[in-house]
Amino acid sequence: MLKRWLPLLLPCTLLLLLCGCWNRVEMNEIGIVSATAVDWIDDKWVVSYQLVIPQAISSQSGSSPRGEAPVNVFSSEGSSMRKAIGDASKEMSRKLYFSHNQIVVVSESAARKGISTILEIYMRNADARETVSMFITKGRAREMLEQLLPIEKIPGNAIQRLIENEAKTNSLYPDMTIYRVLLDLLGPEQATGIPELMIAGSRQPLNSMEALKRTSNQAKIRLGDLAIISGDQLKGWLSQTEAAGLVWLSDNVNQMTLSFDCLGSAQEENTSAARVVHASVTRKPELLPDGRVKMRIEVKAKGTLLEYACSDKKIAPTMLQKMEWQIAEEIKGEMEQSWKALQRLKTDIVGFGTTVYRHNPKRWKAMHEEWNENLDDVVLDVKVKFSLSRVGFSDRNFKEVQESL
Amino acid sequence: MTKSNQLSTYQLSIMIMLFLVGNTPLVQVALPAQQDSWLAYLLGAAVSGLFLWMLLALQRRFPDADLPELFRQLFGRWLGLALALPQGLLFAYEASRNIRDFSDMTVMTILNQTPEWSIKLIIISLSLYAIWGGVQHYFRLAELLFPIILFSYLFLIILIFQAGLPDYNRLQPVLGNGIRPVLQAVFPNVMAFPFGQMTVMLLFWKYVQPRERLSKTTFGAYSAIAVFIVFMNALILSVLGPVLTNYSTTPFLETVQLIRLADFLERLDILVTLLLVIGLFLKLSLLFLASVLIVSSLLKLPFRVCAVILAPIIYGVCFLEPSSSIHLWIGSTIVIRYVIPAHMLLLALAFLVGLWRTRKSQGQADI
Amino acid sequence: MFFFGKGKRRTNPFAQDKQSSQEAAFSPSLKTNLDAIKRLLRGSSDLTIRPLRSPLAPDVVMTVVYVTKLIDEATLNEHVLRPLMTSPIEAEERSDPLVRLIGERVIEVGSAAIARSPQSSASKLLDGYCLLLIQEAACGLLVDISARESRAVSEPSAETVVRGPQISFNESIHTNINLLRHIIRSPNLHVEELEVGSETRTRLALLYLNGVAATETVDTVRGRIQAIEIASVLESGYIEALIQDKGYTPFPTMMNTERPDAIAGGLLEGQIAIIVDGSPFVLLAPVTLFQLFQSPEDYYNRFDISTFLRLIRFVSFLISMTLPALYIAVTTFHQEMLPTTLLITLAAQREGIPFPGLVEALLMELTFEVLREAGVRMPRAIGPAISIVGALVLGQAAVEAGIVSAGMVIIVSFTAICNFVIPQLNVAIAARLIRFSFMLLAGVFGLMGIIAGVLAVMIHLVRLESFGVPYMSPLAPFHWAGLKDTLIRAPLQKLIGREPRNVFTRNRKS
Repeated sequence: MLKRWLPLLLPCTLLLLLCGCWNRVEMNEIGIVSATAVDWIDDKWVVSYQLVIPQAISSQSGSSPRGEAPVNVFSSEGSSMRKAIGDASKEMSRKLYFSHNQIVVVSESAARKGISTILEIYMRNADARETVSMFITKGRAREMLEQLLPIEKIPGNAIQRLIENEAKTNSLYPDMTIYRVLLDLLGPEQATGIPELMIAGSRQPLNSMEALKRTSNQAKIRLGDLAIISGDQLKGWLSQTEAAGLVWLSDNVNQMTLSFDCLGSAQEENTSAARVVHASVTRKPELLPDGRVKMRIEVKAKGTLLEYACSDKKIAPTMLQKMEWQIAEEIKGEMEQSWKALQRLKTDIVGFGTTVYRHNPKRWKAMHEEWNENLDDVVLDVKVKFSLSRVGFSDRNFKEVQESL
Repeated sequence: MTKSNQLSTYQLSIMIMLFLVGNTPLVQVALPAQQDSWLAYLLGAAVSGLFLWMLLALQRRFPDADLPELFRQLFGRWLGLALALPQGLLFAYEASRNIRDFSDMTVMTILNQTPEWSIKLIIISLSLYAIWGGVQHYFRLAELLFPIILFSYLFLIILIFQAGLPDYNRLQPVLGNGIRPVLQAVFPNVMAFPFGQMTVMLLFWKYVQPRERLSKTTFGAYSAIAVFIVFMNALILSVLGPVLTNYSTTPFLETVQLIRLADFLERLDILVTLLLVIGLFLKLSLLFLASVLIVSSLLKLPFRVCAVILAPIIYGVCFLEPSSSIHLWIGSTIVIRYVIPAHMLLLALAFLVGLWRTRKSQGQADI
Repeated sequence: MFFFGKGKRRTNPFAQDKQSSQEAAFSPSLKTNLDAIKRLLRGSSDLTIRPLRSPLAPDVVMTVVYVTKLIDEATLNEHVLRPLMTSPIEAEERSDPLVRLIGERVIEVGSAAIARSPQSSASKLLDGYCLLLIQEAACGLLVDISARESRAVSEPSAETVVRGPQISFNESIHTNINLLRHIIRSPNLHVEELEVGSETRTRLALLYLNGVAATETVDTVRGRIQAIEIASVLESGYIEALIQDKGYTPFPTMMNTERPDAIAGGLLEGQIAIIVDGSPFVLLAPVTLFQLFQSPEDYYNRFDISTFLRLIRFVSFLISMTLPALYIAVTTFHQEMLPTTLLITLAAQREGIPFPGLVEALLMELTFEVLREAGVRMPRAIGPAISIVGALVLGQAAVEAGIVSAGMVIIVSFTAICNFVIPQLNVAIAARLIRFSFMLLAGVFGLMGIIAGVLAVMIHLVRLESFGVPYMSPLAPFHWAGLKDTLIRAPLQKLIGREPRNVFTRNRKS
């Protein structure tokens, strides 16, 4: 029976192939976008793209001469963001390919308008990944895309690695991927913090290969302050010192280097340093009878000593204890300072509301409308315990050894 | 040696597991229960477990009968036919819905410019080829695919944990909104899908040897896979949180998209698509096979003729819904809420009739 | 060209003339008999008729008939003619009893049998026998003095191993059975001789181990062989094609090998061997897919390295089927799967290449197939030139000229190498053929096409059966004991004495 139909099946299958390969797109037909920037200028969305130029980067022989910049930036504008992206085809010979997009930089003006559009696009479209890191910038977002970074070939990748590295080894800001931003903004407090990307140094931009030919550069891309977003709009900024304790409050600490005093006010400020290797933070809300909330925060951290600037002779156990206490106080101070800053801005980005919700959903239902407004009513009760497990290879301060000779 | 349509208990358990997994991680039916949806799945599995027990009891009374034969014996020739034929058509319709799911998912994720008719054509042809050899050959295919699916899921789960994504706190507060949303999700959603679709097994139980192990094998496979589904649901919730899980149409895909390991193992959602493709394919082929068996047994036509007739019908039906959102709406409101429970009720009725009949034949007094 | 006549005459070419009915038996007249023989052999010039007189019975005319080119002269002279002509016996019998006496007491050759009909004698003459006819006897004596030119037993040409016996079968069926009997010295080894091919009358031997092989399978094989109607059988491949299960499949359902130890192993597991005279490749049936990935060396080496190598073989098989297709799918449909740096490298390579990915891949693959076939036909002396031409000129220069990308060359070469890892050539061929359909599917539907293709291949494999044994045993249907020897190779202690041993004998119980 099959024999009779076989002659019919074969041409049909071939017909299928003749119809064309619909989704096929060659690699030299796509424009690989490694970073995106969103501006809101003159009531229009201006979306900028950092396109990678493969020949300039790869180590293939027979490609174009080295002097070409590895990326090219251009922008397109429109009344809706996707329309703007679609209009990019007016000046681009290749189809924009976003699957390798690593970062998205939003300008302050766009953030004040509201980042919900961006988040909406990321949720709806299949080619937009939620692992993209988000940044805010105070000037024009497009400028960030034009900067080259030394050592790294693709700036978009480089910046994402920057924030990843920072989140892992220095824990100042967590890596705010779209996924995390979504979780925060759809959580009970509907607030989040997004780090800022800035160009530090003289305003000589690093946007040409000429600039990279020197051994040192006048301007560099750097992480700046922390932007506080509530709802979907930018509400304010926290400086780096103010934001330092936020990672503790929100249990986002991986590893970090702290500096601390030796014995209090007698010495110069913060001359010794310790490295936090492991930290665990438990946050428990306690509902006080007068309606206020008390947050019990317990921090248990472990670390090693990196720099010892105290003049005491040897690191005796009592000295160790004193140092541990100092460090704990330092951490506690940072946490309280950050909390005050948050209270000033009336935005809970560290997830205290979530803990209350998980602890007592019924009470939360009554409280959650004015939670952010009533942050002043939240009392912190912080307990930090730090243990120095190792002090390194020496047990005395260098200067002290010198003086003892 | 292979002419007799014999199935081993191992083959049966594999098939049950693969059928129930199917596209379940893709479809979220426990929406009202939010962070307790995993509880809803647990409860739903238990409730449908009772239903399964009832089906098995029915099978035990008529050990050599499959579904059409059963209805014929219980309700007589004409009423039995009238009751069994729609069930066959229902299975065909469900197969057609699965094809639609498949093509929607494919077009949405990876092949967004390929015309739908070609994708659906490939699937229905493959499905036809898979069941062409009958029950035995089809179950062998499931046996072959099982290790692949098992290892893929394990691999993905390990990667999800490695990426540090799950946070079990997101499952809290447990029962924060009370038990009512959970119950709302169970009746009828979770009870019907996927666990209520076990009715299709009535067509294959009669082939399984040895007979004594039938119930134990079925329940074993069912429980194992129920645990797996509950676990997967809890895992997705712990990664995405209840709000995001409900917001997204394909939460499992979202979860896997977040995996990023060592700068090179990224963007693994293709692997998920592969898993879902195979799962859907197995499920819809089984439904197709079931409907062909029913139709061929009732209308007394040879198996392959029925297959060749039903295939284009199924292919045509999957074009009927004009858009994917209507398709989803029909699924979540009509099919899950009314059609499948009605089917389950019909079988409950059959069970009662069977009970009554066998009591009568054993000469015992009626209650 | 190779003689595919239908060969409707299933019996023998001798039963053709009208006089055949009259030649059903020898007549007492010597002349009649000789005429009959001459007629049956169509007056071939290498038929020698040698009259002689023997002191046994000096008054009786005797004739020895033989085909000159088929016999061993020394045996004829020393052990047939000389005893006849110098026999001290004085016989008193004449005609038939005399023939019997000669056969019992005079002829000094192992096989001497009474012949009753000219037809059977004629076919035996073509087998290298000589026929002794005497006056007034209605029977003759057939003596086996055949000689045969054949190759010495040497190394296998295609299946060399590092550790293990280095002998292979040769074209003579006698040598081959000899080799097997030396390996399996059990009385249970059963040898059945058959003949196929009306013109070539090729000798076939069916071997199996009594009590281990399933009788239904043996009957099936025997029945299929006996049902063959063909004029000529030149190689075991003909037999393979004619008796294998119906239905098209690119995968082989019978194994063929040159190695006696592989055949012996198969026989001991309950399989059936078919030796075809004239071919050193012996067939083995029934067979599962996983057996085609086994090399005899697996059992001679330790289990850990054998397991590792077996896994490599399976993976290589998969790679050689799907790698070009995967490359096409990933680079033209699913670029998001690649890590960014790899994507950039590949994209840079692709700049300036004129062909789309699918066309490039097909071009390279077809070029490689041409190279490969040329390498097989090439005389030994020019062999190295092909590798130089292929590698340097075609590959490297094509990349530098910008016709193909370097990545594609790597993919194609690696695929080809993976193809060579598969021990059985016919499975490797299947992989090569299927590879092209995968490439086309990938070019149109991307990864979805590959998945559909893989599913189609799986469905096909699962439905295949080799003489009643499911092709994908023991994975599907699942047979736990058999798993110890499929993807892995369990240590020998675990392999011994598992009962039922494998799928070939399992059916025996049902």
